[in-house]
Amino acid sequence: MDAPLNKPLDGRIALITGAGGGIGRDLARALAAAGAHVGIAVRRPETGEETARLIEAEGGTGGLVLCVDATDRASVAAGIERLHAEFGAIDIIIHNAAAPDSAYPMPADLSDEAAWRRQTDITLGGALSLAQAGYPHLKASGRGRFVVMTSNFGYHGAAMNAIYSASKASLRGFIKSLAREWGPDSITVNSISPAAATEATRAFFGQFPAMETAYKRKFALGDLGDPRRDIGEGAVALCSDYLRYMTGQTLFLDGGLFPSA
Amino acid sequence: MAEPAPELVLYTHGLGESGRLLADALRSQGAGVRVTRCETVSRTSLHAAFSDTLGEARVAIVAFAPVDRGLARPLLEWMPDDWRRCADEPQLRLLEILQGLRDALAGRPCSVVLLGASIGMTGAANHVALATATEGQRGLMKALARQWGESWRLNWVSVTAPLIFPDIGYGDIPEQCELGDYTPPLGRRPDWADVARTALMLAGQDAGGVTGQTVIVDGGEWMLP
Repeated sequence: MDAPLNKPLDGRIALITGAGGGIGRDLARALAAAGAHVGIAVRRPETGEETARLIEAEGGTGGLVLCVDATDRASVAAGIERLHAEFGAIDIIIHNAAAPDSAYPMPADLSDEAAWRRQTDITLGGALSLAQAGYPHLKASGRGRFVVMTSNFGYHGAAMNAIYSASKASLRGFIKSLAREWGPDSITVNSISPAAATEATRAFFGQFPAMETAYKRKFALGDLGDPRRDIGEGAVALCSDYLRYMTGQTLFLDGGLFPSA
Repeated sequence: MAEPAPELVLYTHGLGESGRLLADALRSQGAGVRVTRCETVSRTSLHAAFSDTLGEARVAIVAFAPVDRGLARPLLEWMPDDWRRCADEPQLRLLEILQGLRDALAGRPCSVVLLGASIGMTGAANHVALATATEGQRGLMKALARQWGESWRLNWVSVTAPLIFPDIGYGDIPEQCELGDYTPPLGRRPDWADVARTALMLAGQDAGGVTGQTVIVDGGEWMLP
């Protein structure tokens, strides 16, 4: 490994969708702190600018705000090309963007095609667009990393939101197959299944403290993860040379909530 | 002693000859099979079709394949519309099928067994869309098993891909991990009788405490955790 130990992504170029808040913002902060130049792909520039400001305040390598709508193929391609034009390479793509619907309970009896599309157009449509537009650059990198953010909901099948569970589960088939396709190009394809105390999670539990206490008991480590430290730095490890031989896998950063195998 | 094979409804949209072989295999195990036919996949049409065929049956076996899986090809060659039709819509349509079945049952209990290709669990180059669709369907099954568990059991039989899709050869999917020449642990590849027996086991009350589970019928090839 050539990169300094404290900067395992030194000089790498990364694009992260949904990086204007939640876990996506903390992924961007963590990758930047590890030495990466980060393309902060967001629909609303002001959210990306806040992420870039945080990166700068932490002494990170800097972030480039990209207006990207993951449901819009042309927008995705334009964002990737702009990042490449700025830095001359792309080594890492993380598809993190998700629809707000995913955070709310939705009875399956009442789920319809419109609700379905709101989630899967981002999750699955975005995955296709990012993979296709990013592939030439990831291949040229020689150490390409394609990562999708999935969820324990997709593995244990959460009752609260069947659409979210299905769309996240489907990414498992996606990464396992694409890993086999892209392996000869030295591109790894993996997913991360996080359990993190995001702002939204904290706000939810703020209303139901008893539920929070009970939920935390389910974690082997006794708590939800910190998005920046526990999830962000896990993503850094996955994108670094340390885990270059891992592909087609899901990295469960969930404090031992779900015994995946 | 094993319970008698049940009366069941079978819906195999998109499976063609494999659907007929599955129906025959179920019948050969003594099951009363009422094939539900419905070309238009929507909640409303499936509600009507299941209402016509259910009778007193409280077991449903659904093998819903992507209608058009497209030619096996690298992900880079997929166009967005094809991708949506083959990777995304099969998941949505399965939800609509199960909603239609639930509407037809009108609150009565049911044991549902879903069938899909094991390619989603192993991954396969040139089959990203099929693997994506299948794993999404399996995740949907788990979510519904939790949400509708008061009156339904749902389980999944994962079938080796070349059996369920004859256009996919064993050479088109990943070889298992054993060193050396491959010999199936059971000494043979699985057949439709194996699939039917497994589906009926999961469907019946002998498996009354089982829901949201996946049983892989691949002759022990992968032994996935």
